Amino acid sequence: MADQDRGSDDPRLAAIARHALHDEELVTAFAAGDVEDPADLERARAFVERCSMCHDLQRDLVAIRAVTRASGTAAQRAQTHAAPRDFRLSAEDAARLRPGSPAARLGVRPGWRARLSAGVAAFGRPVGAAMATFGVAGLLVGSLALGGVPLASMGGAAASTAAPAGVDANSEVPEASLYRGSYGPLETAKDVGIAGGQSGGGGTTAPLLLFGGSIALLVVGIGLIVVARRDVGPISAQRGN
Amino acid sequence: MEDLRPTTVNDDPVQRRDLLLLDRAREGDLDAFNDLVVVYQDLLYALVVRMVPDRDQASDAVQEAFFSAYRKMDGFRGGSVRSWLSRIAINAAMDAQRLKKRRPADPYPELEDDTWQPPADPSADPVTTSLTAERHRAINRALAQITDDQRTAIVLYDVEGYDYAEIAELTGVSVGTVKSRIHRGRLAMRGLLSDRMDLFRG
Repeated sequence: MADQDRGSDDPRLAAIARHALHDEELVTAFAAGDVEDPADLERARAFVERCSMCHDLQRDLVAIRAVTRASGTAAQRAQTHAAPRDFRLSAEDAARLRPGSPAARLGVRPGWRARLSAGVAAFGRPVGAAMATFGVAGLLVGSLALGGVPLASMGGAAASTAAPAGVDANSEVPEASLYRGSYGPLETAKDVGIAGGQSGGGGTTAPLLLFGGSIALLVVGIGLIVVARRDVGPISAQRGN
Repeated sequence: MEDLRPTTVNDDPVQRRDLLLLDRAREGDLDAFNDLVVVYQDLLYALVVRMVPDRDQASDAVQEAFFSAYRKMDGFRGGSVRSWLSRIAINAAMDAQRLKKRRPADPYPELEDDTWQPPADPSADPVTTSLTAERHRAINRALAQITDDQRTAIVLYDVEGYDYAEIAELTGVSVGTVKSRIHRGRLAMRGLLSDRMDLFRG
């Protein structure tokens, strides 16, 4: 029984083996009528006439081509099927695509709001972050000063603006005074007076101003960051698609 | 079969209208250009979606085609506006295919464009009509699975009626390469349809 099955398969297997040696691309070109070389034409004709699988291949390719050709041109499809979106250009698109065009010059010159918005979108985040950083630093310095730690003890030019309250400019101050800047010890309260007096004798006013300014910087900085994030939305959202 | 290929300008009122709109668009009239968009957007989408069988990508390609046409309209050298737009759309579709090649992880969803069927012959019986529809579905599915180059060549040659030389010019390859892409594409389609060839043999 097994021998009988094998015997019935043998011609088919032999045909498959023979077909494997045939040039299917040549048969495909022959089916399309694209074989020009006479020798190739003769070879293709022989394949199709003598090999049942090449014959089937040619017949199938012709059928596939016929159905493909009848599958509807773009013009036929367009008559019954609309595009899924409206592709008309907006004035902004036109200005972007042809910046020097009359449409761009006449129609869509950006107003101050658009320019401001673009500026905020471009620089809002870095500028806002810098402002917020300065605000936080100012708050720290201001709170230290208000908390009773004299600014002079922290050294630097800030010392001159931070003479503490209650210091009598005419009184003697010990050499190891707290009012000792990085430029060396101040010998007398007179010296301190000079140093403090240059700030206009602010007392607690300077730290308060610093504190208030820092809060303002922080708020504006955070606000800028938030606004900039809002302005930089996804492109699809901006285009309204 | 309506022909998208270039034609000479004649007294065709459609061509005259298109040229008038394009002239006005070139003078800065955006509404005139948008009138052209309205006239041709369905056609260009139908053309591109066969080459890029993903609706969203096809839409993006058509939008890019209109952007490109607006940018390049000063370079229009006469002839058929429709053919000019079709060529720009074909180029945009090929750009979309190249973009897709760079992101092969997202294959085309199978059979995106399955809705259109050729108008049924009123005299045909329901079985024939159903068979025809099934054949077209199978062809569309196979077309969506062959390579982009093969699909482009087959769509332009078999469906839209361009000749080998025009396709070679449009796609920037030799006529021999175009033929080879078409033959290999058909061979690949036959392989994909091997278990359904009875549909086509009847």
